[in-house]
Amino acid sequence: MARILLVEDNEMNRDMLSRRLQRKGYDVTMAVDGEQGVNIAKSESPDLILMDLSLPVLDGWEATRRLKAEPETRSIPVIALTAHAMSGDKEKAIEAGCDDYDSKPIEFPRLLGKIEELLNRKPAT
Amino acid sequence: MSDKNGNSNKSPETLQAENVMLLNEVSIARRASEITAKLVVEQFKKMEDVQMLLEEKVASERELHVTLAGELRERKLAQEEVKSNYEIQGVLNAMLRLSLQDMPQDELIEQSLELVLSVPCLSLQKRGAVFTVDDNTNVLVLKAQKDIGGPLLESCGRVPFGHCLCGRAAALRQVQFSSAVDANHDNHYEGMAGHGHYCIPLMSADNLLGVLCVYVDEGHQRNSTEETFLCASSDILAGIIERTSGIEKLRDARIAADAANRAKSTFLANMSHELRTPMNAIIGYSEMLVEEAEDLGQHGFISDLNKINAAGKHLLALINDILDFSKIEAGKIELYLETFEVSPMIHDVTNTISPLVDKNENKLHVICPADIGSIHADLTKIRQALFNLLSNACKFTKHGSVTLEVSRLPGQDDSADLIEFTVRDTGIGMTQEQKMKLFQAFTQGDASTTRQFGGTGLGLCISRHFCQLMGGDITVESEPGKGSSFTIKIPAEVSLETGKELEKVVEQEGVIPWGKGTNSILIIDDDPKARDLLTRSLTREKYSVACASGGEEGLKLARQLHPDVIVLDVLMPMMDGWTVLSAIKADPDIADIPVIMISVLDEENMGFALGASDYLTKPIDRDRMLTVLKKYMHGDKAGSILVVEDDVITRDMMTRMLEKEGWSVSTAQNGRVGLEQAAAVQPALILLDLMMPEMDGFQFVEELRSRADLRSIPVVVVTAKDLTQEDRERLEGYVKLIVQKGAYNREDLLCELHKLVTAHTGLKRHADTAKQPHSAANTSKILVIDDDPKIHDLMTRYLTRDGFEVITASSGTEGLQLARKLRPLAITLDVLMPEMDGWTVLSSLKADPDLADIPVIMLTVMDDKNLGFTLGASEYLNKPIDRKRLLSVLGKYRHGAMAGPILIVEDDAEIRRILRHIIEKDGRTVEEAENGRVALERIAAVPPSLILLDLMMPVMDGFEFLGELRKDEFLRSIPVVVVTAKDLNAGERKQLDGCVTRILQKGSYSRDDLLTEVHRIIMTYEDGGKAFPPVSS
Repeated sequence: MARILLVEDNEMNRDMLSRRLQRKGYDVTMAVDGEQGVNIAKSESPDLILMDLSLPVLDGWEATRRLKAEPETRSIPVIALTAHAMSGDKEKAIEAGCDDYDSKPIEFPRLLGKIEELLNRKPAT
Repeated sequence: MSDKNGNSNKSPETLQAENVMLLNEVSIARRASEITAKLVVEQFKKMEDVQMLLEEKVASERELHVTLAGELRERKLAQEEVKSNYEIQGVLNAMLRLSLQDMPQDELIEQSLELVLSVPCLSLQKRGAVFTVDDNTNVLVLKAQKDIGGPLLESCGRVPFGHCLCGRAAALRQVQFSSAVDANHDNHYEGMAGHGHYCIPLMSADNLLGVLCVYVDEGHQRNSTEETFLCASSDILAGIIERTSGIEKLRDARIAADAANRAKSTFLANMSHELRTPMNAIIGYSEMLVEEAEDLGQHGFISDLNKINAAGKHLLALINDILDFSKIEAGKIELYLETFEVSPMIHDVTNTISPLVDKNENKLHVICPADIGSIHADLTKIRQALFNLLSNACKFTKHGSVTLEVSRLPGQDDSADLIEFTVRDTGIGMTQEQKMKLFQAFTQGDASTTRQFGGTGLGLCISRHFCQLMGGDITVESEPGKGSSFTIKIPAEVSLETGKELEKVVEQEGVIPWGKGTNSILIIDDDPKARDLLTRSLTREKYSVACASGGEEGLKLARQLHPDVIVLDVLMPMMDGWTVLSAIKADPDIADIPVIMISVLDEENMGFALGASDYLTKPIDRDRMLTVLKKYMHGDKAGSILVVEDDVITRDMMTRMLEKEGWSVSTAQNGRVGLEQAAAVQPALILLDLMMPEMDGFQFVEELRSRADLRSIPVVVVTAKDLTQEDRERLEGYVKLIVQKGAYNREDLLCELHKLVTAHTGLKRHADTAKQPHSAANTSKILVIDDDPKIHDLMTRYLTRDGFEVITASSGTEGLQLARKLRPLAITLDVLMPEMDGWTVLSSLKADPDLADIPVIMLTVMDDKNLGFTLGASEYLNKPIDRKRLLSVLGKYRHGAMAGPILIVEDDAEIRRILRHIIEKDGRTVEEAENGRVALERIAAVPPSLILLDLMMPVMDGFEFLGELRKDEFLRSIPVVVVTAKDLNAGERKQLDGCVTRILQKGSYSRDDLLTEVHRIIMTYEDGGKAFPPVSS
C-alpha cells in the first residue's frame, strides 16, 4: 500500500483529496504547511508527495527544494499542485525540483494517472 | 430895359408871353424831374431787386453750406460707424476664433475679456470682469477680471444672485446698466471712484452660464451700439464657457470612471484565488460524492450530484472569464512568449475539443499543412482562443461540420509571416446585428442564445483581446442559416513592438537561458531578417541572444539585461546606430558593454562596417578613457598609444592625459599619417577620431583591418556625442561605402562576428581570470629553441616588449632541459636544426606529460632576409592518439564560442573513425576529409571551428594544406591541431624537412609578419591557457 504525503493548507481541498485517494487504496498522511511537510517527509519517508505550491510558513517551491537537497528525501517523487496555470509557474516548479505538475481544479483521473506513473517509475520500497 | 427899381419897361404882352414861356419851361422841367424821379425810383427798385436777389443767393449758399456740412458730418459719422463696426466685428471675430482654441477655460475667459475691453471706438473703460455660475448654489464666481481694484476682488469673488448689479443681471437675466455708484451698487467701498456698469448675463438657450461686467465712466450714456456689441460678445463668451465646462466635466468624469474601473479590475484580479477556492470545493466534493454513491450503490443521488458538478464547472468557467476580462481592463495581462510547433498544438486542441464535437453529433475536420512550422507567441492564449472558437462552433452547430484550417501567409515587404487559423461551421449563423455585437462583452447574439447555448458571453471578447495583444486579430464572416467563419491571424514572430499595451513580456527561448555562465548578446537591428539570422547563428554557437528592433527598445533592454556584447546595426531608420551608440556610451550603467557595429545591406551582401573595439564619446571623460584603456591594455603600460586626431587641441589634451598616467604616446593628425605611424611602431592601442580630413576614421579602420600586422591592434573610436544631421549623413554615407566595398558573404560575416564577440567575451574572461592566482607554471616565460643566435636576439627584443621574459636554448637537448626546469608559457621551436631537429624535439615534448600542454610554435629561418614561418599549428598531438589528451586539447578551444564542427583531415579511415567516435561522444559535430585538397573544399563549404590535421597525407600533405590555409585571412585563424607520428623514421623526417623548405620558399613572410604571428598565437594561448588548468596537474 503506497503512502502519499499530501501537503495542502486548505482544509476542504485536503479533505476531498485525501478521501478520494484513500478510496483508491492509498495511505494518506497530511501536512498543513510547507515546514510540516518537510518534517513529515523526513520522518515518515512517504512514497510520493503531493505538494500544493502556495503554502504558509514555507511555500511549496522552497519546501520542494529542501526535500530535493536532502539525501534522505531526494528520491521521493513530488507532484506540484497549483491554482496558477501559467507557463511561468510550470518552469518554476520544475526548477525547484518537482517531478511533475498538475493544475487545480484537480481532475482526479488525470492526477491519479500522474501518481501511478511516478510510483511505477521507482522500485517499490 | 429896366429902371432904377429894376422894373422892366416891357409891355404886358411881352410879359405874358414871357410868363407863358416860363410856365412851359417849368412844366417841362417839372415833367423832366418827374421822369427823372421815375427813373430814379425805377433804378432804386432795380437796385432793390438786385439786392434781394443777392440776399437770396447768399441765403441759399448758406443753406447749401449747412447741408454740405451736415452731409460731411453724417459721412464722418458713418465712417466712424463703419470703423467702429469694423473694430467691433474684428473683436467679435477674434473672440470667435479664440472660442475654438484648445485651451483651459480660465485662459479662454481671460483672453476673451481682454478682447471685449479692447475695442477702441467704444467709450468703455478698460476694466471689467467675467463671472461663471456655481451650479449648486446660485452664486456668481469671479473667473476673470481686469483692473477692478483690490478691495473689489475680495468682495466680488463670489456674488450671490440678486446682489449688486451683476447679481441682478444673473437673477433677472437682463442687461443691467448704471451710470453711477448708486443704490444698486451693493459692493462698493469708500473712496471708490465714480463709475457705472453694463452687466450682461451670459446665456445659452435657457441656461445662465455667467455674467459679463464692464465699467463705464460716471454719467455715461447708455448706448445701443455698445449694448449690441456687448450682447454679441457675451453670446460668444457663453459659448466658450459652455464648451469648456462640458469638456472639463467630461474629462473629470472620465478620469473618475477610469479610476473606478481600474480599482474594480485590480480588486477582481486579486480576488482570483479567493473566488476559485470554494468553486474547487463544490466541484471536488460533488465528484467525490458521485464516486461514493456509485460505490455504495446509491444511484438515485448521482444525477443530482452531477447537476451540482456541472453547475459548479460552469460557474468556474464564468469566474475565469470574468477574471480574464477584468485583467484585460486593468491592463494586467502578461504575454509569455515562446517558440513552439504549430502542428502539435493543433493536435492537442482538437483532442481536447472532441467530446464537445460529439455532443451535438458534429464532425470535425482539420486542415493543417505538414510544413506549417513554428510560431513565436503565447501558447496558452492561442490555445484558449482556438478552444473558444471551436467550442462556439460546436455549440451553435447540430449534425453539421466544423472545420479548422491553419495556413501560413508569407509577409509582404518587410513584415513577418502571419499564421492564420480559421474555424468554419455549418451552424445557425448570425445576422448583421448579431455580428456587430459579437465582440462586445456580455452580449451573446441575444439573451435567449445565452440561455439556450450556454457560455459566458465573454469568450470572444477575451480571445480577440489576446490576439490583438500579440499583434493579430479575429475577424468573422457569417450569414444566418448558413454558418459562420472565424479567422485568427497572429504574426509568426510576436515581439515587443507588434503587441500593444504590454506590461511585461517574458522571453522564453527554451534554447539558452539568459544569465551567468553564458555569453549574452543583445542585437539591435531594425531588419527582422537580419535579427533572425544573427540570432540563429549566434544561438548555434551557444550564445544567449536577445533582440531589439530599434534604438529605444535596445537601450531599454541593454539597461535591463546587461549583455556581454551588443551588436548594433548602423543604418537604422528612426534612431540610427550612432545615436544609439552615443546613448550607450553616455550611460555609465551600460557604457562598458563592448559594441560591435555592423550593417547589413541585404541578405546577399552583408557588410561589416566597423571593427572598432570600443567607443568613447567626446568630450572625453578622463575616468572613462582610463577604464577603457585598462580593459584593452591589460593594465600594463609597456606599449605606446597612438592618438589619431585632427583637432590639435583635442590631440594635445589626450596626449597630456595619457602621459600623465604613464603611457607613452605617439600622435597622427589624420588617417594616412596614422597608418604610417602604426605600421612603423606598432602601438598597443589606437585612439581614433572618426571625423578627420584626408582619411577619416572609417577608412582608417578598414585599412587597418586589411593588414595582417595591424589588424589585431585594439582600436578605440572617439565620436562626438551629439552628431549633427550632416555628420550623421556623412557617417552613414561612409558606412554604406565601406559596406559596399568590403561586402562579405553571410558566412564570412558571421565568422567575423564570432571572432569579435569571442575576442570581447574572451577579454572579459581574461579580466575575470586575471584575478585568479597564477598557476604553478611560470606564466610569462617564452622558451626560444633555435641554433641561430641572431634569432635569440630578435625574439628577445620583440617578445620582451610585450612583457614576456625570453629564455633561449641553442639546441634541442638544451631546450628540453630548460623546458623541464622552467615550464615556460610557450615554446618557439626551430624546425631545421643540425643535431636534434625540431621534430624530434617536438615528439619529446609531447611525450612528456609535464610538458605536453605547453604550446609549441614551429618556425624556422632561411636566411636573414627571409624568415619563414613553417607551420601555424596551434597544437600537436602524437600518434597513437591518447583520448584524454585529445579531449583536453579540444577543451582548450571550446571556451568562448565556436562550437562549430571539427574537421578531421586524415587519410587513414580507421583513425578517422576513431577520432570521430571520440569527438562525437564529447558532444561536438564532425566533418571528415581524406586529404588536404578535400579538406580545403570542406572548409569552403562549412567553416570548422577546429581542424585535426594529419601531416603525412597523399595528394596534398599537411604542410601544403597549412600553407594554403595560412594564406587566407579568415581561415588562418581556425585553430589547427597537427597530429604527428611519435617516431619519425629518417625518411619521414627528411620528407618533412623537404616539405618545410619547399613551403618556406613558397611563402616567405617578413620579419614583422612572423613576429606578429608569434605574438598573436601566444596571446591566444594566454587566454585559452589560463582559462583551463593543464591536464597533468
